[in-house]
Amino acid sequence: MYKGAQIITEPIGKEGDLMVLNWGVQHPASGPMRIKVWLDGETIVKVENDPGYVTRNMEKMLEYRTWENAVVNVERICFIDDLGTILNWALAIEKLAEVEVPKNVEYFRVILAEVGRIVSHLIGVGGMFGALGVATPMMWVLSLREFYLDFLEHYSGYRISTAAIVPGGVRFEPTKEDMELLKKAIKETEKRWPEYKEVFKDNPTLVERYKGVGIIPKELVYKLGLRGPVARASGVAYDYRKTYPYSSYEDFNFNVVVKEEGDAYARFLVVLEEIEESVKIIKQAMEGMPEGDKWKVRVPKKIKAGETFSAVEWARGGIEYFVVSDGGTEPYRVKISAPSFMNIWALEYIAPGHKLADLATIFASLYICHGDLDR
Amino acid sequence: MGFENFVKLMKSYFGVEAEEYPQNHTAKTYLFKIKPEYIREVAKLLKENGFDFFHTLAPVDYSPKGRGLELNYFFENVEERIWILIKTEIPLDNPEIDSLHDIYPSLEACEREEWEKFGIFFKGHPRLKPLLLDDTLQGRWVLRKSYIPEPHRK
Repeated sequence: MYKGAQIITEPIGKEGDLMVLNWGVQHPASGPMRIKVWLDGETIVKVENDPGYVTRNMEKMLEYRTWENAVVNVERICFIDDLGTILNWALAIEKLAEVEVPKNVEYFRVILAEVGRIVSHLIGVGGMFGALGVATPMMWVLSLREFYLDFLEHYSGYRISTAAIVPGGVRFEPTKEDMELLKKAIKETEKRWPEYKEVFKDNPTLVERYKGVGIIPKELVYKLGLRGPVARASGVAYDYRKTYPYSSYEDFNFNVVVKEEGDAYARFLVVLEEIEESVKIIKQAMEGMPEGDKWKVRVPKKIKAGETFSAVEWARGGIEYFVVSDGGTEPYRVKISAPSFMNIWALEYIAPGHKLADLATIFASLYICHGDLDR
Repeated sequence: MGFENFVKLMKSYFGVEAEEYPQNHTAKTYLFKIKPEYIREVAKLLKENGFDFFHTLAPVDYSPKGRGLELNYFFENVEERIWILIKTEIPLDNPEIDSLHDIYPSLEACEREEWEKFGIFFKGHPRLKPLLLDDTLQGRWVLRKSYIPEPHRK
């Protein structure tokens, strides 16, 4: 081992007066991740994250893929919203190759990215209920999600992991039937949403368990570099779509959902209300879609040497790529900076002092995806 | 304000000029190339001048090109919407640099990840212990160019 390495054999069981518990990997709410919890009775004293159960070492894999092939890897950072991660990849490559895409492509990419966000946020809302053991809302959101997946399936051939965006454009020209399916999904959302919102928002089970729990103060957002809905629920109005617009986001009229409370319930509300904003953006993009029949621009197979940094607002927060090219057909180095990897460390700060039962709700409200936590 | 002050101080303390960095197409970014031994002082200056949001740490192994490990630190001044990229280079045979975990706590996990994957030893880091990788990959520094994954495939 290299100097400085300390491999500690970690005792589980009792440590002095404290009980040491493995929360996860098998816990229903944890996902593939272990959280080591030190307990005094029922109260959490200390928490330590142990991720790494689904590591694929994506950054190394990308060095062995061509620029366009890499789309297939990049979208698997997190399959639930795959479109945001590919969009960022496409933007980075286009910048490196100095290629510009037509306006209609940019608009259609916005539609795809927002569909990805809705699909992801619906699961997120369902998952936050799921952490309480309440299964019905999950079924509701999954049934609504199907309409969006139908659109993705008809457009790209796949429901998830669509590879719909490629460097230089989008995979196919959207047909009339694709747009009809998307309109149907939007119509269905608007029809169901009042009822969903009524049941979800003031749900007594949820409010009791989420309100006032796991408060992240504004300072902690800066201290730990937290991103996405977690930052916005603590009063930091940071959203790449508004702060640093890309792919024509400046053309659309939408609000950045910001809450001041910073508790788990605020994070739930941010995710819930962002779905409405995404629906708004999709409607505007469909109406204002510019004329154009070119859906893919040629990107050279070899990209000249250089480096670039690119970031987009993905469902779970800002995802950032640092891409280096040495003039070859494949990337020299890709650094993926993922929001869940930053957000998870808030748990070590906010969980102590809560009861063990609250750990599930705090963890679910951080809106973690293990795919992008481990990469 | 904070940015102008920072540029002035960087020039007087370290004699480094700000360079434009158009490769970041997200935001307006300025690049400073510094020596690795100054990293802590520079980080303190950044923090004092309003660059309180750390984005990412991206090391690049340039050893096949005859250079060392290049470290890229991205910081942002959220109020002024200006980004700073700090570039520094350390030799591959002695990859050591001071840890910034106490100045920017968000760097703690990032440094731990880069230690695990690149073998960069961050001096003063409180928990340089395995984070993401499997036990069989510990100490192999998987993101270095000298690591070829083929022979290790199962």
